[in-house]
Amino acid sequence: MLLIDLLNGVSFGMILFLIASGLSLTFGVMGVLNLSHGLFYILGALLSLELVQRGVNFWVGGVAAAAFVGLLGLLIERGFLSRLHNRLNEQVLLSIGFVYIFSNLMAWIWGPSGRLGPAPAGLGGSVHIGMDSFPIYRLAILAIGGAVAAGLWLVTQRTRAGAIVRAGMDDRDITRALGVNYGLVCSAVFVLGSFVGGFAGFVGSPVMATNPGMGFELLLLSLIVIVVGGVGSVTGTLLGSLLIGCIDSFGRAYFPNLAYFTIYLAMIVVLLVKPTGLFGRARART
Amino acid sequence: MPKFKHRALVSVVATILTVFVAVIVAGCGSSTTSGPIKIGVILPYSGDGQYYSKMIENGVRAKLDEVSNKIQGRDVQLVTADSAGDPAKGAEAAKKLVEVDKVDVVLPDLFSNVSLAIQDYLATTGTPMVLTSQSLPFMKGDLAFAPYGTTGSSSTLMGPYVVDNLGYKTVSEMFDDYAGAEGYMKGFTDTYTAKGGSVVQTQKPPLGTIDYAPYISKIQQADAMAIWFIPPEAPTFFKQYKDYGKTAPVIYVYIGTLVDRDVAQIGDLGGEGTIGQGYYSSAIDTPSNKAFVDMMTTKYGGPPTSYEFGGYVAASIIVQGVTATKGDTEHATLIAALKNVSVDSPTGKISFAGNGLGICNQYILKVAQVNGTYVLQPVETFEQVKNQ
Repeated sequence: MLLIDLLNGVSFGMILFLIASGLSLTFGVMGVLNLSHGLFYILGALLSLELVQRGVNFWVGGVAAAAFVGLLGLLIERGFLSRLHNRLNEQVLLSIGFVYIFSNLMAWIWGPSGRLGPAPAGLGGSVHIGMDSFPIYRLAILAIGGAVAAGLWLVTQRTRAGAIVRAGMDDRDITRALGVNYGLVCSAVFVLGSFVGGFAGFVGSPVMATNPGMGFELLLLSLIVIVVGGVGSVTGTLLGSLLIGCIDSFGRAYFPNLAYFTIYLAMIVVLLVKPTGLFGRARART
Repeated sequence: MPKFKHRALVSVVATILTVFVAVIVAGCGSSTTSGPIKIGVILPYSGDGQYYSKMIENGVRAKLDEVSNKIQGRDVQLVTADSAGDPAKGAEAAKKLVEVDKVDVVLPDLFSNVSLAIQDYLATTGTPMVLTSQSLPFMKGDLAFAPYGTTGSSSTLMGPYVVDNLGYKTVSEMFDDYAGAEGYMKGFTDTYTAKGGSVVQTQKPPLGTIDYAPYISKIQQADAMAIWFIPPEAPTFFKQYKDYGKTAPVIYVYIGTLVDRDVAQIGDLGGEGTIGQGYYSSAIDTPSNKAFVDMMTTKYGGPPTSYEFGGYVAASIIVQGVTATKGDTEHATLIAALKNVSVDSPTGKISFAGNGLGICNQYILKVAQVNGTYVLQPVETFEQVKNQ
C-alpha cells in the first residue's frame, strides 16, 4: 500500500535526520569533517540497550547514553580535533583511526552481532492501516524526530547562541573580532552534534540492529543526506533526510534492482543542479 | 709466502666456504618427513569476521592440544595469517604461508570469496586445503576438502522436509544479495520446488541493508517465509517481521551459521520455532558431543558453535591424514591420504567422497527454549549425507 511505503520512507528518513543533523552542524559550523560520526550512533544504541537490559527506564537510559556520547564528543573535540583546524587530511585520518579503534573496542565489549531491543512500554505493537500493519514505534519516531528538528531549529534560529553559530558559519573572523569565543562555540556545537548522534542510536535501537562494524555505512548515509539537504541547515537536513528516506524506501519496494543506486542517483542530481544542497549555505570564510 | 699465492689460497677457501654455506642453507628448506608439521590458517583476524575467526582457531587448537601438538613424532605448528576478509589479502597471506613459512596444509578463510582466491593461488603450488565450513559451488579440484559440502548442500534437506513434514506448499523468499546467500537459498529452492513446493516471491536486499521495512511490507501471502541473512543482519529482520504483524512461520534455510547469542536474540525477538538445516549444534544429544561440549566449555568458557566444531574437525582430518602417511606431508602423498580419511567427530563419522566433498550427519534444527536458554535443538537427524 502506498501509504505504508510513504510511512516507511518518512520514518526511516527521520532516523537519518537524527543521525545526520549532528554531522551537518559540526561540519557547517566548524568545517571539521568527522568521519567517525557513525560511532556516536552505534555507541548511543549499544549503551542504551545495555542500560535498559540492566533495568534502567527506556527514556532515562537513552538520554544517559546520549549524554555519555556527548561527553565523548567533548573529549574528541578538545583533545584532538581542535588542534587540527583547517587541516582536512589530518582530520580525515584521525577520525578514520577513531572508527577502527572504537569499533574494535565496542566489538570486544558487546560482540560483533547486531543488537536491538524492544520498544518502550506503550509504543510496542502495530496499528492497522487498511489491510496492512504499521509499527506504533515508527509513528513515535516521526514525533520524536519532529520534536528534535523543531528544537534544533529554535536554538539555531531564535536564540542568541544560534545567531552566533550562524554568524560563525558565514564569517568566522568577523565573529571572533566581535569578541565571541569561537573555540567554545565549536566545542558546544560538537558536543550537541555528538549528543544528537547518540540520541539517534537510542531512538533507532528498537527498529534496526546495531553492530559495531556499521560505522561507515551510517557515515555514508549521513553524508548523502547533508549533501542533498545542505550543510549546516537544520531545515535542509530534515528535508534531505525525508527525501532520501523516501527515495530509498520506494526504490527498494518498486525498483529492487536499483536498490544499490537510488540514493546515490539523487545525490548526483542535487550535486549537479545545486552543489551546496537544497538549503545549503556557503562554507565559512576563515 | 708470495702475495699472489696468499691471495689464491684465500680465494679458494672463500669459494669452498661459500659453497658449503649454500649447501647448508639449501638443505634447511623444509623436509616433508622431518621437522615440524606446519598448518597454515588464513582467517579474517581483523574486520567484521574477527569474532568468528577466534572461534575457529579455538577449535583447531583444541584438537591439536588433544594430540599434544604432535603427529607421528613431529611437532605441529599453527601459523596464522590475517585475510581481513579481503580476497587479495587472502591470496597474499596464502603466498606468504606457502613460500615463506613453508606450511604443509592450509585452512582457508571464513568468507567463501576469500577462500576462492586462496584456492586459485594454492592450485599453483599443489598445497592441500581443508575447509572449516562450506565451500562455494564452483570450488573444485583435488586440493580442497570440504567436510560439509558446498553452500548449496547446507540447505537441500530443508526443501523436502518443509513439504513433507511441515506441509508448507508455498513460500516467499528473502535473502542477502550475494553469492554465499544465493548458494544457501538455491539448495533449498531446488529441492523444495522438486517436491512440488512453489516460490511465490523472491526478494534480495543488498548486503548492509539496515532497514528491511520496504521489503517486509511487500511480502506476499504464503505458507511460510524462507530466509537467509548474515548473522549481524538477521535480528533486524526478525524484529521488523514481527513489528509489521507478519505471522507466517520462518524457515532460516541454513541456520547453522548462527552462534549462541544470535539464537538467543532471535528467540527473544519472536523467532522461537524458526527452523533450518545445520551440521552442528551444541544441543545434539550424543555422548561424543556432550564430551566435546564439556571440553570446550572448560577450555574456552562456553559451549561450542559450528565455528569451533569446524576448526576441530578440520584439525582432526589433518591429524588423521598425516597419521595415515606416517608423518609424510609431501603434497601428493598427503592429498591421497586425506581422500581416505574417516574421522569420528563429535556428531559422528565424517569422510570424503571422491570429489573432496564430505559425507557427514546433517540436522534439522529449531530455535527452542531449553532450561531457559534458546538453543538450536535438533528435531531430525539425517545420517551420513553425501554433500554436494
